[in-house]
Amino acid sequence: MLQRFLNLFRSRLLDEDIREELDFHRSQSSGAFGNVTRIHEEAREASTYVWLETILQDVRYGLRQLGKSPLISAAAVLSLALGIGANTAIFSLINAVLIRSLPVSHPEELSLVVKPNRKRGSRGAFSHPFVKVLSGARSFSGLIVTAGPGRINLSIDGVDQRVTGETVSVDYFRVLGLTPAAGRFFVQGEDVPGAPDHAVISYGYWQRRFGLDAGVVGKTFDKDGYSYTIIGVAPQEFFGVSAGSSVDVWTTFSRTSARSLNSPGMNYLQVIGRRKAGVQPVPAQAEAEALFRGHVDQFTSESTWTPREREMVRAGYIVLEPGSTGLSSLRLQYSRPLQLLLAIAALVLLIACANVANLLLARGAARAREIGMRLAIGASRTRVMRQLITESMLLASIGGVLAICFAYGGASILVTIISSARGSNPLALNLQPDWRVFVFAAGATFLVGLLFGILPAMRSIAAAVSSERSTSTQPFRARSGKLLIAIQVMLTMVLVFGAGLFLRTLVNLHGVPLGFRTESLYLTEIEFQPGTAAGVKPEVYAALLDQAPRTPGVEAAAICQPFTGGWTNDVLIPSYSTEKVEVHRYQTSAEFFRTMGITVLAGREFSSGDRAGAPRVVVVNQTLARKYFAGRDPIGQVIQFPRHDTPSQIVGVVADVRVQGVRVEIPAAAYSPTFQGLDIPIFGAHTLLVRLRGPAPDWSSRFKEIHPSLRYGGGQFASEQLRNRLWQERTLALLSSFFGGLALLLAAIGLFGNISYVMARRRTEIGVRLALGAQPRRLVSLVLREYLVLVAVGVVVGIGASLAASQLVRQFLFGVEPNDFLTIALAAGVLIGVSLATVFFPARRASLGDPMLALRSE
Amino acid sequence: MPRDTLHGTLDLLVLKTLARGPEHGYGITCQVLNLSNEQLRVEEGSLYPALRRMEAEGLIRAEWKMSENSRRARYYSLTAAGHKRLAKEVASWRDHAAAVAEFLSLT
Repeated sequence: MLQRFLNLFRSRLLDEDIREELDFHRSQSSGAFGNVTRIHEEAREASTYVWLETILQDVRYGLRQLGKSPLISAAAVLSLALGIGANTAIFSLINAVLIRSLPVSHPEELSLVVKPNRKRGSRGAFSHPFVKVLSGARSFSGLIVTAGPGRINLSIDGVDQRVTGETVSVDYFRVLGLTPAAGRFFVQGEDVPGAPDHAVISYGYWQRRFGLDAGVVGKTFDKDGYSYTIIGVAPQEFFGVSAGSSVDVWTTFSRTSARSLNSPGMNYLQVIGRRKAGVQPVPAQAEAEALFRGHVDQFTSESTWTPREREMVRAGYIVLEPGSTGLSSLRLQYSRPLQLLLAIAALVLLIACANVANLLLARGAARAREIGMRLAIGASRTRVMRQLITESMLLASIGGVLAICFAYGGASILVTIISSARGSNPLALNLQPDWRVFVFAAGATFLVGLLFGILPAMRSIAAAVSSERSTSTQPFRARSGKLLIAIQVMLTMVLVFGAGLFLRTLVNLHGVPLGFRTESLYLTEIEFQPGTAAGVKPEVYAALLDQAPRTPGVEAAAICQPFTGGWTNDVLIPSYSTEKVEVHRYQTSAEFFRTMGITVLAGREFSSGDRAGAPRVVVVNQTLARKYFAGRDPIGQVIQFPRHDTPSQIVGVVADVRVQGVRVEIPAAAYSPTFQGLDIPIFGAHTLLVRLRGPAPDWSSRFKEIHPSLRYGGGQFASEQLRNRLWQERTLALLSSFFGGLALLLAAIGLFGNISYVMARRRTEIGVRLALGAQPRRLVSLVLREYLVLVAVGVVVGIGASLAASQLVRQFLFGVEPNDFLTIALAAGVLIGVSLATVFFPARRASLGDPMLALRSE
Repeated sequence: MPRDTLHGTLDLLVLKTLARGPEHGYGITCQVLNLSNEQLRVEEGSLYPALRRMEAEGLIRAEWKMSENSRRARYYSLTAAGHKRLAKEVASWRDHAAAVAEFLSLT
């Protein structure tokens, strides 16, 4: 069998072999031997796969054909490589984010334990007490519990570093079924308070920071003021259970405060359960839900709960979701944009197909004679068809192989683009191509080869057949070429229009007034040494507010908590209603409004007099004033905050600001002075804001000097932060523009190829017209008009398709309607302009040629 | 006058011949002629394609060796699969021949 296959590639040797064998026979025997050639052929056929051999022949012949017109072939291969490559690149991303399983044992047994939260569209999180309850579930053989990856400070050998850390259950690695690359993983008992501080590091971090030094186990580093010992290294392919982030250091809950461990309201854990073999998700979910119900009913029965809070907590429920791909907030964020990008890339690929089909049509015309000859000497139509399809498959395969290279680079570029748009929260994905990516690329290549191959092949044969009867088959072929151009124009219209919508969305988002000056506003996250008593914090703030303004280049400084994210309270506004209303809360220092550049509309800002002991005061934003004090002056009115002994008097009204991002509706907000008691939990980040006159200050080493409990948590300009928040819109605008431009380029190449070919075919006609006195200018306009009609048809159909398609992307748009007239007009204008420019030059060249030359050439 | 081999028996004759020992193509035709008392003859036109086919099927294997008169010849020999096939073919031929004989003896 193998022999027979190998014989394909040594046909000359095989011939030699057979001839010698037959020669030997003839030298021995005296009798007649029969037809030597026939026996030779038959013996040869029996020794190899004839059908495969003819395919190889076709391939060799096809390669020669492609080599004959290298320019056309290169253009075709490049279009295909770009088209297939773009699709494969986006598919690799989809694969990494949505499809690829975690590199752990039996990922199909994993179930995400999820508490859906309709209102916020998020997944909810769990508390330690509930996890303890859930660990008793019979359906699970173990739980993977994590506080989620986050940026942490650690110092090794006195050098400070910011890395991604994750606090996990001691069972984490065991339940995942991983084997350490070095050292060991956590064991039972290492998470109890007082246990030695141990850490596991990732392979990547081992490589980056320690150069794969085998002596890393036993090394120590400082984190949160404690000294941790590295006990092991995770396997190379494991980055953590959250797709999109790559963890450097894992630690246990041994340093978690007793309050966090014991309070059922501290929901910050994410849980993946490993179902026991044979346990289906449905019964497992029923068990988890029953445990959750019992747990919630029990802890909310205490009388400290208000009916509303109790109702809210009890409305929660649990579902299990397939967990083989791990936890991922990315999945929620990315699946729609990625699908959209794949659709865009698929359109580009279609355009590339139309392009190549057009090129092949033109070449098929030139080969009509050859094909006619083959048919005439007895080749069957299917045989010739097979030859032509083989050629297009060959083209597609070369394109496909190149495409995989493009895709590999392209996917990393995509991740870089998205990462840069996300700023300080970069994306870490495993883009190593796996079999799915190859199957996708191969499938796309095959489909594409058929798609652009069949039409030209059929046309070529039809043309060759009809050319036996008449000499001109041009109208027929020109029509299919024109159809392809119209289709290309249509698809390009959709892409250019889409790019226009996304670009305008981005511009609109940037154009929204924020209510404060973002440039030169620098934000620094404040962190505290763990264990810092709450009572020390005002002292730390005071020291910081005293020192920060003395830094060169700093004009004003203030503290706000939480600046990003949000904290809401149900408050009582007696003059509005006896029902509590929800407001957003911030605690700020005196200089906040001046530092931010927020206009004070009425009343006053905070002053240094607004401190502990003084009457409670509050500043509200315009939205709150409008909503709850419609028409009346809010100054002097009061708001009662929960857990405050006295109501706070409203002393000022300030302009609305969009700190939460542009797409979020402005909430009713109340600002309380930092120094009248911190009652917003520490979860909300504390941010030091400074208005700068110069470059960004480097606080990283100074924070410890300002106060020993103070830790630096990273800094960035407000403009940068806002820009990062628009990463999705930026990515979409960038990529859709890129693909729109690519589509335009491909369409222009297709058009140029077609017009050049048509002009060459019509040289005689043009020559006759010129000889009979036609003006070159009129000839050009004749051709232009012909193509204009074609492009116009494509544009009109394209507008229809665009309007239908743009409804699907409505959710990604901002400040622009999916049927925006201006964008349609601009896109159509660009398309018609580019088309006419592309057609004009070949047409002019043809009309300026010497008519006699054209006539004589026929 | 020797008869040309019956359709379908060529493989059987070749396998049987090679079961006696390695042989080249010409040798196979001679052996079949001699052993059948000149009753059976394999035709070169069918033999060589058949040898190549059986080689591809793995029933026989080929090797270039020196022949008795010191010329290079392609010697074929049976593989294990070839031995198995021969046994099967022989049995099936016997059944077939018996059936035909019985049929012809009907009065």
